[in-house]
Amino acid sequence: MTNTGASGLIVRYLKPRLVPIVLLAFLVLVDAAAQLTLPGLLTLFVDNATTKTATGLLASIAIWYLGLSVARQFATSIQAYVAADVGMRATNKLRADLLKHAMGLDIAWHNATTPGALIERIDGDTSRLNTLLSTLLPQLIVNVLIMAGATIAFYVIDWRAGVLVTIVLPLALLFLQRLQTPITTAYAREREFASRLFGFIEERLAGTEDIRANGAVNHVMKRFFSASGAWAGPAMKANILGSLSWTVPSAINALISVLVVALGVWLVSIGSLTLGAVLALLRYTEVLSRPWFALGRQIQELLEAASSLTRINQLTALRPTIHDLGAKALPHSALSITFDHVGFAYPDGKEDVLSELSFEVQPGRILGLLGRTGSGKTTLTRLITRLHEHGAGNILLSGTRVNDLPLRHLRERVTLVTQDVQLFSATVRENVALFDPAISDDVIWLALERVGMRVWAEADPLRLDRVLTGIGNGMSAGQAQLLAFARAFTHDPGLVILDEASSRLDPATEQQLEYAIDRLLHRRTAIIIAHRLRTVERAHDILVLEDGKIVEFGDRMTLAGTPGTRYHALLNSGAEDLLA
Amino acid sequence: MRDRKFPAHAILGRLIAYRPVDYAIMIGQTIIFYLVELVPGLAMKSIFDTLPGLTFVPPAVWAILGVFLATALLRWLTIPLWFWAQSRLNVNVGTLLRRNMLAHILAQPGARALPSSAGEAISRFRDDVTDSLFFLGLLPDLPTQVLTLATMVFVLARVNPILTLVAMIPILISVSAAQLSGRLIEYNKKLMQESIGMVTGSLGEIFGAVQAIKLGSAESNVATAFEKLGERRRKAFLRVTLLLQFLQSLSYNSSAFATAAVLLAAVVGDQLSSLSAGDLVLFITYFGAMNFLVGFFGELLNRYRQTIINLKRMTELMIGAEPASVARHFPIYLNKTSPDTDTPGFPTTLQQMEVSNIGWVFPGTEAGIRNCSFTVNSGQLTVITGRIGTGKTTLLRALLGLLPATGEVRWNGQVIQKRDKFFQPPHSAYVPQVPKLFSDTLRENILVGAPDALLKYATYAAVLDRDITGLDKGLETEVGVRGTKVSGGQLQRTAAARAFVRQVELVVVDDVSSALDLETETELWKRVFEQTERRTILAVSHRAPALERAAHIVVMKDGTILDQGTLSNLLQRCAEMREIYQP
Repeated sequence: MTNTGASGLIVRYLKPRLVPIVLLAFLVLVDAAAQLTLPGLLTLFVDNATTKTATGLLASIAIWYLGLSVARQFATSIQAYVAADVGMRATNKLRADLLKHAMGLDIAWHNATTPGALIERIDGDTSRLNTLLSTLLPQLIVNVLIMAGATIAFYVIDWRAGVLVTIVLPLALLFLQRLQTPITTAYAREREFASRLFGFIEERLAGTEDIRANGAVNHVMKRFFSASGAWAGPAMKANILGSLSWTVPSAINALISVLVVALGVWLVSIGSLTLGAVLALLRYTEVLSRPWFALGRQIQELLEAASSLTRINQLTALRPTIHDLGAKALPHSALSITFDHVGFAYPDGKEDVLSELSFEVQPGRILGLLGRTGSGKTTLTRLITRLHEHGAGNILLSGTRVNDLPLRHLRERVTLVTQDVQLFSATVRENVALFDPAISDDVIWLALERVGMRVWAEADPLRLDRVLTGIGNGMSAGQAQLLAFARAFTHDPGLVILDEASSRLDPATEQQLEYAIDRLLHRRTAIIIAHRLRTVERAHDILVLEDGKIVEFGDRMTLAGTPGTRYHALLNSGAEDLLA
Repeated sequence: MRDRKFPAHAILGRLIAYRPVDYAIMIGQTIIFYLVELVPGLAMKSIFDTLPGLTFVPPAVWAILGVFLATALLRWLTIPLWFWAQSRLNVNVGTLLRRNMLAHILAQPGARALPSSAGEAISRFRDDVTDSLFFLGLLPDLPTQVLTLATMVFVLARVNPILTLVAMIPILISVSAAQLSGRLIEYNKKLMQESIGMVTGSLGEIFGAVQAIKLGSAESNVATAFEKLGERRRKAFLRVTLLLQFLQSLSYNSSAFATAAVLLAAVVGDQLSSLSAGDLVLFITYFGAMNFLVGFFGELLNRYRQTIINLKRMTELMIGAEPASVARHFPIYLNKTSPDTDTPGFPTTLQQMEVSNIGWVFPGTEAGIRNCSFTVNSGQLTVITGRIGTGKTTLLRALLGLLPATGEVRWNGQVIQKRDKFFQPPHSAYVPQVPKLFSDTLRENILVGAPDALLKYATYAAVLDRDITGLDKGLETEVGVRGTKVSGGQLQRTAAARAFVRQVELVVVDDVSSALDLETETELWKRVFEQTERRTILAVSHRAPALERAAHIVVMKDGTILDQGTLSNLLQRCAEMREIYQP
């Protein structure tokens, strides 16, 4: 297996937990020593009992037996606790790092990946890793120690018994190794189909209203059955094959028991062994049996954890194509925008979405962006905020290429308000501040006031601590949009992009928002994608896009006064033909 | 804490009854599996009692060894059968459970179908189903374990009742400890499950809002908030681990304690003289087997508690349902296609729909709608309008039965009894305010099971035709997760096409303006009504194209109907209307 990167990952996350790991090692040794000593004590007792020696010795053997059992009881409990703590802390860190990593990946990648599949990567796979660290590894170490110790005990009792065990065990291990590949493959296949099934269910659960009201329930159930049917075969195969890693070693172990007893019986009959020693052989076979039972199951879990690790590594190996390498800074004033022969195409797309875009917007001016749906307006704004990376040409803000700016700085200085309302099951405060603890309550209240949501927020006794539970539960889609809009007021941007931002609002409420927008745009540069002539009336400049190319750009008043321009035609026809 | 009335046993019984043959196979194998445990002790006893003093191995001993071997082989060669039957059980019963949850959720008023986020709900479809099925598979072990243990105790008691009694004390202590701490464990496990749900739910939201997070440079802060949830889960996990591990060790060690107790009792009570070598070996060998059995028994009891939590979590997802209905038997179709059960009846042609006194208050709030009455006439566009937050969408959802609201709706004078069941094809179709697309092709997203006879008309009426010709793969274009590969306008118009492609009497449209420009919206209403077919539409809108085309307008304010009539009448007498209408 190519798990060098994988084990590197584990080491990196375990390093800070060295002290508990040392404690863990000590407890593991106590556990193993107790398990290896107990059968020895038992044989000693039986031998002395049958030969009727002093009861004092027998009593002390019995007391030792009790003491070691009690020691084991506490050693295993504390060991489980410490190991769980080590595993949880390491995987919590890993989970947060993976989340951060995934959030840093391209938006195009996110659009192609279901949230369900991502949850499975970041939570499901790390949880299996947690099992590996907190239970699997400590148990495996105990088991290996016990297996080694018990094997030595066999040799001490009789070399022939030792030889028997050392021949059969490696053969069994070899056989198990050969089983590994088909089992891993079966598990991977099962997981793939399971993630499709649960991805399907999750999306449908989010769209119950659409499904029900359009009479698509039966169709959804049909698709559910076919997704379940596709999963069923691989699931059965994985379960049955997976069981072999447990049943095969158990069967082999049962055979060893019979062989050991038969060998012991024969050795007693030829006079090379005492009866007590036969008992010792059988007891050590039992001591060997427990780790063997566990080993099979643990290999099964180990395989799952290994494929989880592989998938985690696949995720960490993904790199964003948008690099955050810039170190320059933008001025603390309104920004100018320069597009210099900018082009853009999706990595898998043949045609350019945008091509040869060149225009300039002076600081403090407002650009109205017009064009039909699909003409590339939204894409253009996403190039500025570097959600997508432009291809040919250069985009400059106040003379600095956007690629030369740290992403954080860029996105603080450029605020984009979109039509997608993305709220969290978190408090009003966290939603407005986007979890930024540095933003004070005063700023949040001010932001709420500016979008007209202060009264709404004050109406709830919990005020900013009110936890949002989604649209429909006392909050309309429009209110959700206003709340999302409030985010724009928590920073001091130099460029504001309004992308179909006010579209869900009714005109009366929008009036309220217009006032807020006025404030937001005051002494700032802005790009507005609007649906209403009135909104475009704010603009100083107008840019009309068609099929990813600029077909008209200029001062709004000039264009309005020049017959033959598209904007002039638009104003006069009232058809709002270009406001798409 | 534990709900006495929760029918966990009835549910488990119904699930078993769904695959009786598979379950019988599992029970049969389990009996073999455990009873074989009795053999080694007895075999060892007779060998140890026969062997001393002999210089050869008598045929009887070889025979005993033969039985020893044969039973071991029987045990391990039949176990793949158990896994085969268990796999069939898992796949079939698991699909039944998921089917029942999904079908119930889809039968609920759409706007309140789930008690939690879809991301959180999915863990109930996945983990809770898997865990409870795992327990179901181990359930036959319980009686067989008890039987085997009882037989062992009986055999030992015949050898020496006093020592057997002494040995039972630690075993009983460990089982009662597990029982007594049951509630503590259940409570802590529930906390743990909740913390797990919060972690997965939060991940779902984060990935649903990744663009906003990127634009807000909130990656680190979101990760920090997420880490807090993880920390909460760690603490809950540690408490459960310590509790469970202590009890589990106790039950595994109880046999070691039993051995220690027997050794001490034998020495102190001077019982050694009455025991043969074979008897001692029998005791010791059986303690080894009992060690395993009692330990596993304790684990099963814990699993049982966990399973009740799992079952509860599944039934919680089914709002308003009898808990036992999660296990109701229905056919599932794993290897064949499911039949079309929806045979759309002939709808009564709509002449008039009267909405009277519809009301709905959001639970625990004052917000909602009251006493809403108006009439929708066939072949016309009726528009509900009003400012933001005045209850337009709520009214629509309430009258469609997507919310369990009060009031009546009459269809051609006849009161509709179950609105949520009635308002679907062939009676009506619906375009929600925030439509949801699925990761599939455009065609599948429009049709979602409907026949494609009206596909061309639907894409035309929804002004989606020019987008489709513009796309490389046309209708076969994949729309991406939740429709993220198409623009907001395309998404909204796909949802409109979804409604128009259905042969229905009434199309209900919630605010398409959120993603449509005025021109497209004008075009849409024009195209919808230019067809020869009579289209009846009820729409929420505040924009000119819809208001101008409307035959009847309902103006909402603060959750009630302020006024209604034609646009020209309303513009004359209603100030609110004048505010809203922006030509």
